[in-house]
Amino acid sequence: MSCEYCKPRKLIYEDDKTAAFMSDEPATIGHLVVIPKNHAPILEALDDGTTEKLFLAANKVSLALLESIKCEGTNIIINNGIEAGQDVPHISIQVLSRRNDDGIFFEWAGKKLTEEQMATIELQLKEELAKPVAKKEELIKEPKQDSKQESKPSADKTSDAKPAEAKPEDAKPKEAAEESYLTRQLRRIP
Amino acid sequence: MPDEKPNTEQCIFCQIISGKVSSRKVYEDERCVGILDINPANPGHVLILPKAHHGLSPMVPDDEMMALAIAAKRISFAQIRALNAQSTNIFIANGAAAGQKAPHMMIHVIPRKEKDGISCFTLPKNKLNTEDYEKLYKAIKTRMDERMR
Repeated sequence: MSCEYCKPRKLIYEDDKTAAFMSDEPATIGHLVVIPKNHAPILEALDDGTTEKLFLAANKVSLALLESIKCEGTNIIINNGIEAGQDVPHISIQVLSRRNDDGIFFEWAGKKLTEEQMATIELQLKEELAKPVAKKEELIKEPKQDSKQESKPSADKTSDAKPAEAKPEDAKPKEAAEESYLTRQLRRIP
Repeated sequence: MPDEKPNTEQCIFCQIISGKVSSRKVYEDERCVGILDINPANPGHVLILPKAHHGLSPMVPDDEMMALAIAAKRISFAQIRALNAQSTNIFIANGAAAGQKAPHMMIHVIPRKEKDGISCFTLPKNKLNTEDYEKLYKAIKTRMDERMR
């Protein structure tokens, strides 16, 4: 695999699931990259345990930046997908040391929405988030093998995967829908 | 740097969490809530707030940070599925120098689409000479190793 982040490097930090290293193309002096050790293209391809460890590692290296190089602030950023600025097809957290005069600004013009638009979005997100957490995270752990996974029984998951709740007959169309969703997701990977 | 001591009385976000100030809440678990940003970078922009008041992310205990991580992932996923976002940005600013504007630590989750006019997450790319790189590496690594001991 030719993934830039999968290549061996000098690390700042590592644990069983994550690693942190200095960016080759730093935005600021003191720019670290935190990655899951197992290749995963986007956040949705990570299992919950790795997601937690990734955020913890980012928070730890952020503190180490504040303490070691005496910067005035830090940013912790995930660009999850091409449209969000992701340029390496391996999900990462960018941790930037910040100084008042470094010329970087995270600013956006706030969009004005009507109360009705806001209410609609609130409802849409609430409904989506109220759905039981599907085990799709595990399904896309190795997205490159999606085509193979189609023919696999749904039971091959990771150790923390729970047994499928739906009966096999019910599960089939659901999985197909999941698959097309994943295919769509994979297209947005750089 | 924002005030470090808990100030639930003055903090607007603590009042939102307690329900004294209204908000559009889309997510809640034991440790955090997700509300719609009233001044969104894009429609559907969510702020995830730990229920306990923390000024900066390094002050957030590990168990709360883990809950925030899962909330961020779930909200990002919901924006993609329910709002047809193509991508998402997840963003934390620690300190005014980093663009932090509120005294309550928060995670922004911003739904993104092609050509939506947001460009700040495309980071500038610089090169460090070997000497500066090694100096920096040593300083950060030493501190990190001390912390992990």
